Amino acid sequence: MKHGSDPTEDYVTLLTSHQARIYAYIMSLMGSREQALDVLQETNLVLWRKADEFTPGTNFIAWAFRIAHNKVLTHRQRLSRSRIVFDDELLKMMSDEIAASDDDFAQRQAHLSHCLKYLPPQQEALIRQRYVEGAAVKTIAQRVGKSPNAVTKMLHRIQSALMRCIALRQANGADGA
Amino acid sequence: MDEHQQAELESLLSLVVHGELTAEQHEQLRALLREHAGARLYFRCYIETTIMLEYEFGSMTSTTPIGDDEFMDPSMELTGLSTGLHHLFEYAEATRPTSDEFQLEYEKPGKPSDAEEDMPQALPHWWKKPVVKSSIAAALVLAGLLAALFLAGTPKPIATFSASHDAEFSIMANLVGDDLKAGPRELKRGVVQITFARGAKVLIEGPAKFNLLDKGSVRLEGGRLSAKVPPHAVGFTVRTPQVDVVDLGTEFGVYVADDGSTVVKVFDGQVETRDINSGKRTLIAADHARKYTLNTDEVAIEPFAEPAGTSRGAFLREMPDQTVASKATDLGANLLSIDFQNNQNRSLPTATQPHFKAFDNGHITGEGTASATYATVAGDVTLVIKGLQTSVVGGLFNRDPALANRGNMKFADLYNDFVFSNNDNRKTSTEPQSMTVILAGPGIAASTDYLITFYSYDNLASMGEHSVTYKGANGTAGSAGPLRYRGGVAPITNDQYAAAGNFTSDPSGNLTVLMTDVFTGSFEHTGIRLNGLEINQNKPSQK
Repeated sequence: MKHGSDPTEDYVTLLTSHQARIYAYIMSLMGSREQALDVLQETNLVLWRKADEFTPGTNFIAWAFRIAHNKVLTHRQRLSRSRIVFDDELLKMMSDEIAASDDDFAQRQAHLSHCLKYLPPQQEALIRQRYVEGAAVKTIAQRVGKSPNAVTKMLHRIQSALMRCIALRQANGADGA
Repeated sequence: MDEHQQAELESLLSLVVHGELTAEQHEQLRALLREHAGARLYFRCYIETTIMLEYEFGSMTSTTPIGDDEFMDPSMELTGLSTGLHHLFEYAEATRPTSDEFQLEYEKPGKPSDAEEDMPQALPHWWKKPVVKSSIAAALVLAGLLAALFLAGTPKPIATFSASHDAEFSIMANLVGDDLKAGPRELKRGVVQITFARGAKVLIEGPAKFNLLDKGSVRLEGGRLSAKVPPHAVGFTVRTPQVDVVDLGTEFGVYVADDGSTVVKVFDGQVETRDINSGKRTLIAADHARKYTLNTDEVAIEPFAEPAGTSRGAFLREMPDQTVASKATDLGANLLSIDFQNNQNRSLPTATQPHFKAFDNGHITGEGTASATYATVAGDVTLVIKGLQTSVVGGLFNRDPALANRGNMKFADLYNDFVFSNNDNRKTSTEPQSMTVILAGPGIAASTDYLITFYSYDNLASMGEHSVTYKGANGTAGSAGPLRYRGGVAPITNDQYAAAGNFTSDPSGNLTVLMTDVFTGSFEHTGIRLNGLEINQNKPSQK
C-alpha cells in the first residue's frame, strides 16, 4: 500500500489538536454521532496519508474540512437507503454556513473551560459522569435514582446554560482563559 | 420558529447527543433545519458544545454513543425547562457589562424573539468577535491570564489510572483514579488500564516496564500491552527498543520480549511502525502481526504467525475484572454456574472449579441425553444436554495433559474437562457439529432475559481450530459467540475462551441453546466441547 511520507511533528500536532473541531464539523453535516465517528476515522486516515500534500502555513482547517466533506458525501451514498442522511440542499446550507462563520473555535473552547468552573457541584458531577466516564444516560439515571428522561433534561439544561455562558463571554469579548 | 418547534428541536438535539434518532426523528430534524436558519445555528452550536465537552474532559471514547432508546420520546417536554434558543439570542444582545455571566440559572422564562427569523446573515453575530469590550471583560482577561500563568507552572497529568486487576507496582504505586504524570513505572504483576489524556486506552499486563512519556505516547521496555485508540487520538505512539508503533485510529497489541524483540499485532484499523535506527516504515493492517528482531545493527522484520487460536487472545483486550463487574451490575446476580466433570475412568485427578457445581458421569441418563437438576435461589433448574452419542463419541471428557492455573487465569479446573459430542462420520468429514443445551424448571422464568456465559476449550494441541456459536432455538431468543479457540493455546485470563450473550426464555420458561462448532484441522479431531456455563438473571428492565 502506497502512502505519503512521514507526517512531521507539526502536522501531527495540527491533526490531533483540531480533532474536536473536525468531529463537530462532520457531526453537523450528519446529525448522527455514530456515523460522524466513522467518518472522522476515515477522514483521519486520509489526513494522515496525505500529510505531504499539505503546505505548512496554509489553512489546515480548510484543508481538513474539504477532506471531511468529501468523506461525508461518500458515506452518505452508502447510507442513501437508510433515510437518515441530510439531503444536498441541507448539506450545502450547513457547510456554507460553517465556512462563513469565523475561526473562534479555540476561543469558545477556552470559554467553555471557564464556564465549567462556575457550574454548581451537582451539575458538574452530572456532566463529569456523562463526559468523563462516558456513562450512558441510563446508567446515570440508575445511579441517581431518576428516570433517564429526567437525566436527559438535566443534561440539556446544563448544556443550554453553558452555551449561554459561552455566547455571553464571546459577546463581551473576554479572551479565553 | 415558534416555541413548539423550538421545543421539538431541543428534544431532537438531546437525542442526537445522548441517544439516537429514529429515521422519522431524523426527518423531523432535517425539516426544522431546512426551514430555519436559527435552528441550524442552534444545532451547530449545540453539537459543538457537546463535542467540546467530550474533549474538555479528555476522555472521549469511541464506544457506541449511548444507546438508550427507551426514553426516546419525541414529545419529550423541555419547553418549561429551558428556552435555550431564546436565551441565546437574548444574551447575544447583552453586550453591555453584566454580572450574570456565571448565573447559570435557566428557570427564567425566555421571551420569544421574533428577531431570529429571516436574519440568516445576521445570526452568527455573537459568533463573531465582538466590538464592545467591557471593563468587566477586561478584568476577566487579566484574571484569566493569571490563571493561565499559574496553571502553566504546575506539571499536568498526562493520563489517568483507570482500572486495575490484581496489580502490584514495584517502583511507584498508584491507585485507580489517580492522575498520572510522566515517568517510568514497573508493574510486577496484574493488569492495569491507563487512559491517556488524548483518549487512548491502554491495558498493560505485568510483568512490564514502561515509561509514560506524554499525553499521546508511552515507551514499553518489556512486557505486553494492548491499546484502544479512538479516532480523535490518532497518532498515539508506543515506543519500543526496536520500533515506534504509531496508531492510525485502531486497536493493537505490542509485546516486547526479554531479548528485546518486539511483536506488533493489529486487531482493527492499522498502525505504522518505524524502525528507530533506519527510519524504515511499515504499515500493518488489521489481523496482521509483525515481529522485529535486532540482528547486529539491523532490525529484521518478518511476518509473525501466532498460533491461530491466540490471534485474538494472546493480548488481553479487556480488563478482566471489569467484565465481571459489568455482568454483576448490569445483569443481576449469578443464578447457577456449572462445570462439566468426568469423575469416572479418569487418569488424572480432577476437581470442580470453585464456586461452580459439578455435572458429572452420574448425570448421564442415556445415549443422546444427559441431565441434572440444581437448586438455585430462584428454584430448581434442570440442565439437559442433547446430542451426546455416549456409546460412540460423546459424553464427559477429562483432558490430559491438564491445564494449570497461572497468573490471572484461575479457571484451570473449569477448562480441563468438558462435555463432548462428535458425529459418526468423524473419520471422513469436518462438517459442523452441534449440541443442544436446555435450561428449564421452576428456577427459569418465562419470557425473561438471562445472561449466559459459555466456556469452550480443549487443551490438546492436536485439536485444531474451532469456532463455536451459541444460538437460541425452539422459541428462545438470543445468541453468543462465535468463540474461537485453538487446541493447546492455554488461556491467560478466565474468560479468554468464554462467550456471553443475552437469551430470552420461551413462554414456557425454557432456555434452549443450540451450539454449533465449525472446525479446521484433521478429521479425527472434530467435535464440540463445552467446559462449563454460567447463568445470570437479568434485572427487570427499568422503564
